[in-house]
Amino acid sequence: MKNSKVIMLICASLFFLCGTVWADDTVTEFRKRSSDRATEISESDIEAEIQFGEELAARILGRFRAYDNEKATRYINLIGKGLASYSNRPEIEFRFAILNTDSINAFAAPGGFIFITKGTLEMVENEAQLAGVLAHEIAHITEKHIVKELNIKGGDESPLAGFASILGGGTSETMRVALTQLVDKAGEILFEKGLKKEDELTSDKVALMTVTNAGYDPVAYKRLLQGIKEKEEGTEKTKIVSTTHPSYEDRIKAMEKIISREWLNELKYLLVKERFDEYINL
Amino acid sequence: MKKVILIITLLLIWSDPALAGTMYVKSFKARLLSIPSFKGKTVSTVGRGGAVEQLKRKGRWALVEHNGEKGWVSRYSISKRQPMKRVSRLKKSRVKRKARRRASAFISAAAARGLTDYDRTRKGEKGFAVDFDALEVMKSIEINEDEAVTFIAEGVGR
Repeated sequence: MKNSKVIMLICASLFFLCGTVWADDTVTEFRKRSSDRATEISESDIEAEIQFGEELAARILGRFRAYDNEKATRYINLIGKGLASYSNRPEIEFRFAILNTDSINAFAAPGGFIFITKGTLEMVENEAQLAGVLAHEIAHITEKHIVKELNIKGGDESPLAGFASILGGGTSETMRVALTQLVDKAGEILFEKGLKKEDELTSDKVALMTVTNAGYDPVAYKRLLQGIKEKEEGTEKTKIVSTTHPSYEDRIKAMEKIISREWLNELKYLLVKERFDEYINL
Repeated sequence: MKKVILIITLLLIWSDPALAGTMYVKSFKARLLSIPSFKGKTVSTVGRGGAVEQLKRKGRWALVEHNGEKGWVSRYSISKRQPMKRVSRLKKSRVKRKARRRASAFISAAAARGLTDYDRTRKGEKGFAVDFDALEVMKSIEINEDEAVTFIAEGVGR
């Protein structure tokens, strides 16, 4: 009798635990959030991340070339840096550039380097949609998706320590070759293989929360993806993004769940169209 | 004995170390809301670096206490680590850029023989093109956080 009571109590406790855990849908996020761990990150870890990011950013710029439009570039920097201030990585200086390609895409390199293509900007109708794209890329950096995908083992739990351990050697040829190989691998992820589907969906979720926190209509981001799906899915413009990202349908469905769960469609937040049209005239 | 096992089991189950404890605001400010939703009213605002006690989690939200006031905050705004100061490689990068130019001038004399080791490592084994000049332009845009936050606030009417 006593045994059965004990078993019942344990079962009840497990049921209670499972209920609370499953209600907490963030645990279904693919990777454990780094901000939930207290692992110390040193300044040199961040410097190593930025150094790596600069190498990767130079390759992104080498592949697509920067779009020379000072007004538009300053504008996306204002929006991007403002959004980044709502993120959990104040140690990073985020920087934004427009890539001169009709391809619909955006990229993020560790260390805060973010790129949006001219093709994407041509699809964007307002500042809220632009904020969604930039917040998605910011999330890749704050959640350290590429760093984790590269799976570099550092001296401690911090995935950034891996960069420091590789770059710590400074000028030696071995270290330089190791860095180059690592940047090659990151380039393959960005241009060919893509990140894990779960990482892309996580970035969409974080982006929705970030743009809402900043005061933009969060549903606008979903509408942008719907617009691209309807007008450009299967065309040359979405060729790369379709191989590196989950389908628009999957992304839209996942976003709809968050919008519904967080009541985001009930918020009367703004799209900010006039200012967008004033600055983005490509 | 069975009682002891039961108590230990319950303690292990109920004490989630990730839940309790001090968290720090990482975003430039965090609004503490009356309910775990952006529909909630703002109870209080905590600036970057502010310490909050995490009491409970619900989805993407955490119930926290700050200066005796309880409110829900987005979990993306807080962290177990205190925020670090901004880290910059700008000065080092400029120095390195000069060094790169010197190196480029040096290796250009041997360019006729094909790619040097230096170029090969810069471009990678796959021969990706690189544009460090465009990167420098990208890094030269100076906008401080206050300016950017104010710009957004003006746009969204806050």
